[in-house]
Amino acid sequence: MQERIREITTDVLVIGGGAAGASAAQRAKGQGVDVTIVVKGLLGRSGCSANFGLLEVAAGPLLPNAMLSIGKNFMAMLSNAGIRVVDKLPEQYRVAMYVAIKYYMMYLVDQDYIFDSMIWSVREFFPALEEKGLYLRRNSRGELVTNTDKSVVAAFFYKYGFTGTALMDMKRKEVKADAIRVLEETSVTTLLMNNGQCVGALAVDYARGHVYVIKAKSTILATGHTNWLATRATGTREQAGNGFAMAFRAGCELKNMEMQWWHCTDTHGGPSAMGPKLHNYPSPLPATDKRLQMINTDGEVFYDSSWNPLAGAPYIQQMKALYKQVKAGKSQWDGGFYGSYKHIDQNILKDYLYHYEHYKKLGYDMSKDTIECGASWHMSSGGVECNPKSMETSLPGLYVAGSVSANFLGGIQFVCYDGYMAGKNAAERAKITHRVEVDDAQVKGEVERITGFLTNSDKKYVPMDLKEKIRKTMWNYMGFVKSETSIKTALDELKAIREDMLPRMYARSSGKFNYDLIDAIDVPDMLDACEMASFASLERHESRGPFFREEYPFTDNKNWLKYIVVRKGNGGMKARFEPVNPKYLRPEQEKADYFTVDY
Amino acid sequence: MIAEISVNVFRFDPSSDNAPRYDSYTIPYTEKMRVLDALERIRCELKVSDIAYRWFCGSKKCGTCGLTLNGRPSLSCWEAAQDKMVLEPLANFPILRDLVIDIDGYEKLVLDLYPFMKRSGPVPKFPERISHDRMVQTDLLQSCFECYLCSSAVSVAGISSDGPIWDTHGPAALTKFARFSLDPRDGIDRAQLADKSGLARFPLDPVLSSVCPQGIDLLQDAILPLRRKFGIENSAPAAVTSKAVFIKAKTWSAFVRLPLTTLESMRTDGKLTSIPGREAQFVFSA
Repeated sequence: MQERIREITTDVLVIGGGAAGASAAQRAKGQGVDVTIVVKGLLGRSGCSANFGLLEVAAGPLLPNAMLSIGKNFMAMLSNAGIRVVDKLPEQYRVAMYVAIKYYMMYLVDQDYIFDSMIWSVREFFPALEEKGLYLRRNSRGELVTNTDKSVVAAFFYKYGFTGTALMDMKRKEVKADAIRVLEETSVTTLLMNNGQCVGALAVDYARGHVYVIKAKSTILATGHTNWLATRATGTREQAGNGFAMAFRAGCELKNMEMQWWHCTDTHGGPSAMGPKLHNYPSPLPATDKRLQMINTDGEVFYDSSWNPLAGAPYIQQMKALYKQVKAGKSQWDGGFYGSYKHIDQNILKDYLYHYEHYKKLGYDMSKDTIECGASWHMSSGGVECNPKSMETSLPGLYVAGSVSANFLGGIQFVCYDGYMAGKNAAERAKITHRVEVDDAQVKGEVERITGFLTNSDKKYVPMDLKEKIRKTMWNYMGFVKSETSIKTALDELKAIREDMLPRMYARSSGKFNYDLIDAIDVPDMLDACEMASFASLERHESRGPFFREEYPFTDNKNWLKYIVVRKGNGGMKARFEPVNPKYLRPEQEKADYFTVDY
Repeated sequence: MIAEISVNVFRFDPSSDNAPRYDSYTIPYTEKMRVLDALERIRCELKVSDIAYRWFCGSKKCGTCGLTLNGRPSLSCWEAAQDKMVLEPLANFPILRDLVIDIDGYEKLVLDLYPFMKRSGPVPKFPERISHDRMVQTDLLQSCFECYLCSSAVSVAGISSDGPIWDTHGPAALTKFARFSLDPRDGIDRAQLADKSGLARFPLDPVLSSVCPQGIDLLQDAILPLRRKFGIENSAPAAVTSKAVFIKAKTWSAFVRLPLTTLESMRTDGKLTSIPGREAQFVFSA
């Protein structure tokens, strides 16, 4: 492998080829610098962005009056429910801010960041999409097809569930036509550091069998979510939390790592890879005010997302409802409960829902059948700490963008905003940086670490043995329901995998398209990412949104409206707390029963 | 209920193997199992950890898991697993290894036809009022995620390491070209691009009406409307333009051949036969 090392020198290195990475690369290129983008899968076709379902073009000044009035109605409903939204916010952004801060981030977010990114989305991002040729679905009157209820305004390309695919197809072409160097099916294995600065990265091209040493004046980490760290998960094949682990090892701080998001209406699907990737939207559907119903083993409807129209994103409410069913023996976490669209006009599903064809293909008749579901590990709220105005991390030369950052849960407009800001600032830094040198000892050590997977003589485990064991550990002990005992068990199991199995793992040395090697490289990164999530979970002594500790069944805004921040310390992980500033929107209750709060 | 199924997989590393081989695996069958699930079981449960196939989403969005299933171009996440199925790479592409093809060459053809829009005038305020009735074709063509099944289903398409084999850009590139050419909002004169695309030389193969996993009828929804738009009435013959080496896998139809990355990468063992002029053909012998 040593002889296959290739060197690249670039101004701005972007790691990750989703919406955040593509936007960062385009913006940096627009500043007139040399840009290289490295993608573990294929630009715009792997990762989370291509699976993005719908755009929340939340009521804004650019939307027609009908939609603005949806926002006004919603504000009236909030007011009737006794919920005050601070008047400092312009009216047209209040609904979206409310949904984002409360239902997606459970108040653990920089509210100015939400405001800034939302203004950018409405003024620049949404209009540019159609100007450049994408087409949001209209009705025959020429209006956007969207939900008819009062909480969010969701629009989509082609069909519900296909939006990210169409958007990323465009971005892929834009980047490729833009003289940006694109290295695909190439996985970055470590950030290169020299004198405390980030000076690039080392990467393995598993499709063609090269190793790249990339020297960069600025580096933008845009590696997305950790969507596949538990057995049942929504993630794509390559998602393994690499960015979280690399940033952690380089010395970054990560926050909100315990706030792991769960879905509970993804299809069970038996052993099929398609199963958990088929999401039954509980959120508003197009052209109807009806929503998904959830049914238990006894055939009783136990949750209907339309029961609380204020909850723009009812995912967590669903999880809480499912918990009660599991406790009562009326469903399990991985099956025995069902999603139903039977009560919804089948023509609406056929016309607007991308997954309609999938269910047909799997043999379901949605007018008669319910779909067996299971809970699944989904997005990570947490990530690398950065300045939310500049996307700079604490390491000079390293920026973050998108879901690998701690800024927001996800959302394609938010991650594009991150990329837009990071690309600009990284390019500016590159312009005033003359030259960077890598640390040859670090390069040598990293090449040896990777070659070690191929040459390990104690050939006992293949990488997938470890991946599956890690995912099973997280599913069993770091699932939606956690306790001090379960979290500690998870940490012990992860330690055992690291100490007993990792030294005996080997990858086959087939030269071209060696995915086995990528699986091997993923394993230590997954261990780091899982350990961070578990470690941070031990620190939070309450329950909040997707984070549920059975021994602390309350949401405590008096004592726990604060971030947990983890970092690498001497002899293990360290944690610190950081206060949250609820600048515009403040939680209604100080301390309340976890099952009575609706977020 | 079938308890288990056998799967025959095309295995070939052009950089080290003399010829492709077919390995047979037996795996437990479970209800609703996809072809992709069968491959995952072979790799993870039978621990054939070096078997190469590409996929990312598992739910018909990334368009990267295309392969030939019993002779038919298919997405492995989409089709049901079957007993005794034969899995081979998509035809008409250079092979990286096993079931993984190199798509770079084809993508260059797509990019060659300017897959972007320029509006003819000032863009109306977002969201502009535009009736869906005018956008039905754009909406459908927007669903193409370039899985290249169409490009592997027809005889006049193919890429070698030197570039395209025929003097026409082929169905995937033409479909993307149609997506922008036929969009009523587009303001570019694309006649020169149409000429460059070899649209007139692209044969109207009926398989193009049924091969697309997104349900696009490539003839009725893309190629024929393009021909009408650019005033093309009669087909001109397509011609081979570059030197290429072909191999033929078991289930591919006689017309569909597989270009290798380079001539050198083929170790002949007496199985490589020269075809006079510009190409050589490797016939798989079981």
